[in-house]
Amino acid sequence: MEKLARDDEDKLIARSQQGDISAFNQLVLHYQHSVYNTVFRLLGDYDTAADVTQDAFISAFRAIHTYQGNSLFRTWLLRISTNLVYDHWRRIQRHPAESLESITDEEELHSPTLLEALAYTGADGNPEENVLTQELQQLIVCGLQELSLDQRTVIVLCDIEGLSYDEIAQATQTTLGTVRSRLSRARARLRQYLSHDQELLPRQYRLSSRIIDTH
Amino acid sequence: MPQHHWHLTTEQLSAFLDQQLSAQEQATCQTHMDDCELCQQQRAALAQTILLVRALPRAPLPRSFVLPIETPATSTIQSKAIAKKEQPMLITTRQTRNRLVILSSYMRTPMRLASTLVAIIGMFFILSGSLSIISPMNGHTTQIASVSLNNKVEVPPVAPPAALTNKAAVPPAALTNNVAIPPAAIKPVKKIKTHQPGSSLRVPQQPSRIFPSIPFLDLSRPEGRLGVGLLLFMVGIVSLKMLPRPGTIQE
Repeated sequence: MEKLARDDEDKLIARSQQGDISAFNQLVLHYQHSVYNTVFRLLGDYDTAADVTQDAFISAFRAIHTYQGNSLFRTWLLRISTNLVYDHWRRIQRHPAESLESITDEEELHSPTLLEALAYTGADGNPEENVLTQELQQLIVCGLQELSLDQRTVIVLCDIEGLSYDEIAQATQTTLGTVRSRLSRARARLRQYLSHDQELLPRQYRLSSRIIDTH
Repeated sequence: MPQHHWHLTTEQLSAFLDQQLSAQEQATCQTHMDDCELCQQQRAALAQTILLVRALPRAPLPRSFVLPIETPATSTIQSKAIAKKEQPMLITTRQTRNRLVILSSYMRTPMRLASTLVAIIGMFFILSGSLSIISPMNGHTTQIASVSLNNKVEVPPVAPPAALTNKAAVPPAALTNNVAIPPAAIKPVKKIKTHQPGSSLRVPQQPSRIFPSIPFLDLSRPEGRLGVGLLLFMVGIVSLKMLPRPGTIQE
């Protein structure tokens, strides 16, 4: 879907604030993928992410009259979404029986087939130029799930959704300093997770242990 | 390469990669890395991690998340979104009734309670007024009672609650002394003597009693109480009907 021009978006927001649901739905169509992807990467479960995403848009429409343009509309939406994710997460922590199943079995990740799969990322090892294999995707996703929710939120918002530090600070209602430190710890911890069994990684992914230990 | 005594922290490297350092800090980090293999490798490891996370595919949308438009739930959502705007209270269209419901979606229970109380108070006034009229307090009253019981009164067009009977609706005022004192929403009833349909307030025929322009609010008189009681009871019942039980509107 094409990016909404700022003027068009402002008009849709104004109409939404008058109670025009069809105008708000235009905004939903533009942002639902971003919101759903964020929520999904934070919670790790398709169905739960769908429920929380729907709740987020309902809450956003209810609160639309409070949006005053002090942040980007997308940032405002993501703030509502992450708040709901945190609410859900806290409920899960209180009732572990309802917790989500892990996405994949840890042992499967370290099988020889994984090594082979990882080798498909290309000669220069640049993952950006290649579609990640399913196994590598799963490895990364598991690594994300190992992070605290705070760390996972900032790394998802920055490295998956492309928000700036300022936008992340607004979405998470924290400071730039907090965003910076959480992000660096999240990345370092994820790197450590990915390198845990680095003997299985292709040479280009391997690091000397000296580097890993200096975090 | 010279051995450095200090190295860049992970936080510095992370911010460096995002270009979130000041110009001076960026330059300092770059200069250091030009000479420090360890920091170069650490920077590369972090950069690679960022690329891996960025390379994760977007999760496919399971469905559309647009809000439904023509359902009570959407009316709920819609009305909540426009709750700041004033809504007319007496229009009887379905949409407006839904909006009214929504405006009170978070106040339903206390409003239902208040409506019930209003209706009960109204009933007390009706009882009080009726008993005062029926009991032989004076000649007038007796006459009034018998006359009122034997006469039909034209019920005004506004739908009164089912609990209202002709008896209750008959204003004791349908007599020589008083003017009818129906609830404000109901047009005043004619004097029984004349049996006139219509809704205008009649001037009392007894010159000794001149009533204020709003006699039906005079609580010192039984007919006043009756009128006020009818008014309150109707308001309570109508409010209760318009406020569904909490939880019946789904969002």
